[in-house]
Amino acid sequence: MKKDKFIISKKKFNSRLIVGTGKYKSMIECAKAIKISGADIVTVAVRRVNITDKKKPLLMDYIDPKKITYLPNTAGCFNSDEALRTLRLAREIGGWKLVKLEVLGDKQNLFPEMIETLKSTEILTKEGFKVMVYCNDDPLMAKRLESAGASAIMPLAAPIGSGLGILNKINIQIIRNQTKLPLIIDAGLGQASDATIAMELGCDGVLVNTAIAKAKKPFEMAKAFKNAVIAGRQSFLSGRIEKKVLGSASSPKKGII
Amino acid sequence: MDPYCDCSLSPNRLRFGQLIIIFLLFIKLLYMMKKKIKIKIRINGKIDKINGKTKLSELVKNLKVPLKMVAIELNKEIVDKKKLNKIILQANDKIEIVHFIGGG
Repeated sequence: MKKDKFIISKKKFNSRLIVGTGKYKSMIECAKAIKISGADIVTVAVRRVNITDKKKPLLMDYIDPKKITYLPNTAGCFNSDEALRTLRLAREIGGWKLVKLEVLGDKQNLFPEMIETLKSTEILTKEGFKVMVYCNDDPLMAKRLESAGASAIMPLAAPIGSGLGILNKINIQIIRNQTKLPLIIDAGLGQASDATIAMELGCDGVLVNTAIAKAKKPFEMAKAFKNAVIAGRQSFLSGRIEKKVLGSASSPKKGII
Repeated sequence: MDPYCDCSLSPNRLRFGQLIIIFLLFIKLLYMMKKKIKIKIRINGKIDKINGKTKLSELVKNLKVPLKMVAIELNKEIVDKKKLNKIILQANDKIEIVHFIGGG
């Protein structure tokens, strides 16, 4: 497993599990869950500073951006202009160029607005950003994003926060077979085994937030996801057996009494 | 006999002197008003009144914003954090100060 490295736009990472930092009860809980998950990358949102309450805890006080890669995300943006503005600001905070683009199209199902996403990917790439793109599990759109200069393809498993697991394994497999870009399942995972399935399909990584943050025991779930991703990757690299309709006995026939 | 004929303080001269003093006072008053004048600006969506001629760097310092952790936008344009002291805020300026928070 030593040679198996997780690389996104020439940067090497140890863990294939990316975690979100939202929805936790407190910053302390969030920081502890991230530590247990072993993630090297965390997604973060760009929001207004609370200028009236200066005592509010700051994310950077709990999660050190020198130790863990911050992946600024455009969650909550519903068009290209908003997403571009958010990521340009994110870059200004401290030079972040590796970003996650997420342009939503519907407030209820939170599916990505792919036309705006594609447009934003082109512009951001030209501006020198390394764009990891949240997208539909649509192989044709994934191709378009790749041509537009995306650094990673991040198809959803299911709607954000739904916990439904991977709904369309075939599409994920088709995308896997057509691209050499990092393929990361983003959104919709509900339990650790979902992450294993994603990794067994050949994905390079998974991004999880709600499934850990909203689990009854977030720390235990963070550990479960860590192990699930490792297990899934090992299983994928080990080469599974072919599926057969009929049984084949595991014990030799010779010497049966 | 004209009582003012030989007098240096003729009514015309008196009026002229008064005008100059009033004019000078007016200018001083204007100057003082300008110094103390308050302008309305919008910071992170909230209206605030600040002294005229305030520099963006002063505002940020007053708000105790940790500069290393934020990005600043002035009227939808990103501001270079090294040049904050060169920007003098104008009335109706819209300032956005953002940072990273937890998110998915």
